[in-house]
Amino acid sequence: MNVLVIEDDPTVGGFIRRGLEEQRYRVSLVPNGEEGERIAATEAFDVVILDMRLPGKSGLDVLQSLRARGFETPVLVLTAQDAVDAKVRTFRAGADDYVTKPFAFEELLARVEALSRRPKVLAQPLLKVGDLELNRDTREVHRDGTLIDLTPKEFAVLEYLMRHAGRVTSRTLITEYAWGYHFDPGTNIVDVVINHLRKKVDAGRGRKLITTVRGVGYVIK
Amino acid sequence: MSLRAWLATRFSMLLFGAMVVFVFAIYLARQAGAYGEAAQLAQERARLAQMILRRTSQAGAPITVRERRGDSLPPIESLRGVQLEPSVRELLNVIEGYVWVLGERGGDSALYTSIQARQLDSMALKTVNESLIELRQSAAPSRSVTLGRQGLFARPGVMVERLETLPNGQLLRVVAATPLSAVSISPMEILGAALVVMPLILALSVGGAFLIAARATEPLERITKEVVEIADGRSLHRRLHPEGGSTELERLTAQLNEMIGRLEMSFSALRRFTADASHELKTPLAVLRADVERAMHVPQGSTEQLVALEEALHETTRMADLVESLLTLARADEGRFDLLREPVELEPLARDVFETALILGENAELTVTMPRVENSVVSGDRTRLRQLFLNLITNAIKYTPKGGEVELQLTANEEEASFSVRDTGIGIAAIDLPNIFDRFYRADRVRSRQAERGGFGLGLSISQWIAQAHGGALTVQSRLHRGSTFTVTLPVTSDKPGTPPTERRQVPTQTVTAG
Repeated sequence: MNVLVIEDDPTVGGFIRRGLEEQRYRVSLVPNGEEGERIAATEAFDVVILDMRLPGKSGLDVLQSLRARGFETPVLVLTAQDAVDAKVRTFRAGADDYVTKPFAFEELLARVEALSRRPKVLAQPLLKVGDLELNRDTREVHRDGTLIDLTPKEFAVLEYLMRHAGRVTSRTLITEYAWGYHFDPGTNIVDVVINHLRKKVDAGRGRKLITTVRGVGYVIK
Repeated sequence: MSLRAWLATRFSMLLFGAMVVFVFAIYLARQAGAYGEAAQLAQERARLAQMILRRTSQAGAPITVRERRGDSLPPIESLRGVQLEPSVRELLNVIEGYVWVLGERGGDSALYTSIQARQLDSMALKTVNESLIELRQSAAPSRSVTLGRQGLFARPGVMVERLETLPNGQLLRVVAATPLSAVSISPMEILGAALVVMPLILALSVGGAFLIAARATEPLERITKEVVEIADGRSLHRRLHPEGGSTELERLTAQLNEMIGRLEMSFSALRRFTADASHELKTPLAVLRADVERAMHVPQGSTEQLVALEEALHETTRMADLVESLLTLARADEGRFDLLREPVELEPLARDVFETALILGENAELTVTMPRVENSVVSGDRTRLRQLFLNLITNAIKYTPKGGEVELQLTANEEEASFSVRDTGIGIAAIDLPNIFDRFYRADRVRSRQAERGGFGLGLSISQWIAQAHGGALTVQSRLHRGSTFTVTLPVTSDKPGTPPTERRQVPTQTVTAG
């Protein structure tokens, strides 16, 4: 799978490239619009990630001239403007989807996957950690064959942990995943949900799966 | 009261008042001149009577006769049984008005009384006699007299007396009186005329005033209409058409145009700032966030490093949220409501936020309930509505001490849905209530942020904006130390969820969103 990233900022560009490469995408990073347009037209890509604010030719212009030439590859737009009219403009210019800055890599990846129609690594329905199984399609969780009843938020938190099994996951990222943007309750709501999960998943079992990393978040392994 | 009506009433009142004063002034002026004219007329008539008497006497005809039986004359005339010769009386009858011929000794005897004078009653005659005595004593050529009734409707007049010595040596006195009304208009006539004319004048002046006021205010109405059109926030590039015809209106339109120009400049500056700020603030935040997320992925990092990175990540998301809120409010100030519109079912949304409320409530040791949930569909932005509901819930939980209660409720009727969050918390002082929706306003800064770190005081402003942008409202009832109830009302739609949204293309609603 080939992805073209047209982004002038080296940090953001590098972040996207590394992240996508970790997911075994082949990434070409181009720092300006003119060159990006040229490469997009000459090489075959599965998805183009296009920043709106570029030095020289703007992302919107690049998009419009690509589409005018019959360029059909899906384009994911990175924009700082989340006003509806700005979004509508990018869709009118031919964008397939957009991500608003600042964005979480998870979100970018999910959208790239959706656009590239690749068999989803993240979206594989069954997640397994030890004898704990989470099915994203049926939304059922089993431990050692026993069905565990979870509330929607508990499910979301567990799903996120299991997707990043073995890695320390930050509370901030968990909150963002389960509650979305704009939610800052001022307390560690994740801790409460984790307590519930511990009671349901780990209580009375020899092996505890969920571990706290103080000041950071949690690990499941 | 409209300016037009104000102008019209004031103008017609003024005009009417001026008319009344004018008529009254004419009357007074006439009255002043009337005395002299009436005196002259009385003199003329007295002189005429004198002439008749003299001529008749010179022709040798007898002037006076003894009274004959059968003659019916008022007793006062025939007191001494003497009267003028009938032929002389007939001649004298030609003279109009009040004329008396008295004998030498005068006073109580009248040799002749004119037809008009005979109609005076005894009361009137009494005053005439009194006036006559006064006239003689004053030695003035004339004297005012009242002819007829007394009081308000008295007929003021002028009286004169002339002496005539006939060739035969007989002395006669001729008294003539003329009412002022003979030469002038009476108050009654004025009143009568006024009753007829005044309504006419009034109607004319009111009508005229209305026409003039309408003419005068018509450009103002045009200007107002144009200003309203321009002020909707999207037409600031337009200018008012210059008003010819009056310097005041020209100045007004010029000033308004200048003001609109300034507004346009500041609005476009704001728009530029909004666009620039979203880029200038959000791109570095994106970079920062990318850096932090990448650093967190490095497997061999120490826990201390992870703690620092987590802290940085949290602050980055807070900052991004603040920037986003400020930009949203800046756009709202411009009158722009950036919302997606799709049919949103409220019940699932309420159940979703209820779970969060339960979790938060458990942490804060509060009882959280949702006794009533009635489903309805509103046309709106799911993410924004969720944000609004969660804002109200986090507020309620923040400001309710341990052991308290928070109650959510979702109700609906045909027209509107309402979601309310009631708490038994610390409440809001009446003095703070009007300001709680203001940006960065905190009813009690010390108390609100003792233990926890919280928002920026934008939560309720944003919440109110979301409610209003949906055509709804956010209201609050609160009593200090008793608790508060925040209620969002939203107009419901008959659209079924799942029908295409009004936006050209639906942006997928995400559970994972940028932070």
